[in-house]
Amino acid sequence: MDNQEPEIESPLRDALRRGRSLPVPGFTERALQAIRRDTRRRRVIRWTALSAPLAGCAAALIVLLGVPDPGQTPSELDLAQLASLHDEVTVATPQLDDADALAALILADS
Amino acid sequence: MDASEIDPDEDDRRLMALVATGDEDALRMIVHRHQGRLIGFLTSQLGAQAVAEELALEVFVRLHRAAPRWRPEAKLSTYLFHIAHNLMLNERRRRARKPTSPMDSAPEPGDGSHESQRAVADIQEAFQRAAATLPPEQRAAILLLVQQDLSYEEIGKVMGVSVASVKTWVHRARLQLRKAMGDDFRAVS
Repeated sequence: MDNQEPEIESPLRDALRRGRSLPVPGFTERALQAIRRDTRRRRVIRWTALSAPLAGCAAALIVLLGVPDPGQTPSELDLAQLASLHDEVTVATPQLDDADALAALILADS
Repeated sequence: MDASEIDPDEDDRRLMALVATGDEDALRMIVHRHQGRLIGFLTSQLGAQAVAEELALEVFVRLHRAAPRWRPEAKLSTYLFHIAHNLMLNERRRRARKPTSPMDSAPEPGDGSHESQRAVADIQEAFQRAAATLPPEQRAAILLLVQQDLSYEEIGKVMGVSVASVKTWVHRARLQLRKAMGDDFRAVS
């Protein structure tokens, strides 16, 4: 296809083509710096976008699992844990009264 | 291979593939190769080289972002002008909302010591003033055609319009420029 318009007169064509290329000294380095800044900014945005939901999950886990009071001393913490365990053991252990225990012993001997 | 035998468009495709892998040297070569024409085109459009340079920086930033997705269906230069054209549209809309200084300023008068040089400089000034009066799409179309040697099809891709629209704009721009330049034009032709 004929790309050129034959009707475009020479002076007009010359005027249009003036400034066809305006290389600017130092522009390439400026462009690379702008691109590096943009890359860093987008990386921060991506990590922020990822970390927000992760932080939310972590917070939810903390709430659900419970976090010991950091002000407690280790011994107090151990007692608290034992107390909670005692409750679990108590629930899991069959409850026998003295009569049942005696009957069990007699049966075991016979 | 002799440097003169390298097809620049083919080399652009090769470099863009490297840019997509993070090769900064390839990116540097692309910027160096295309910055002159891009700034020239934007300056002709906007009338202010400083603004043109800022927009050209943004063009390359966006090119870098798009590198992993870029497919060589068109020339890289066409794609660059396409980004530039869209940024110019955004800039015009921004300035229309917040007018500060005129976007289409006439250039400073040239300094021609010889009569022939003065005549050429006068023509250039007359042209710049006339070009500033063109509707943006006409100015873009005729600059891309005559200044940047794009084909009608390529201009259509840059501007997102049909070839018929491009031809219409070029025709109207030419008539308007001839009319606006008037006596200055006929004095030299």
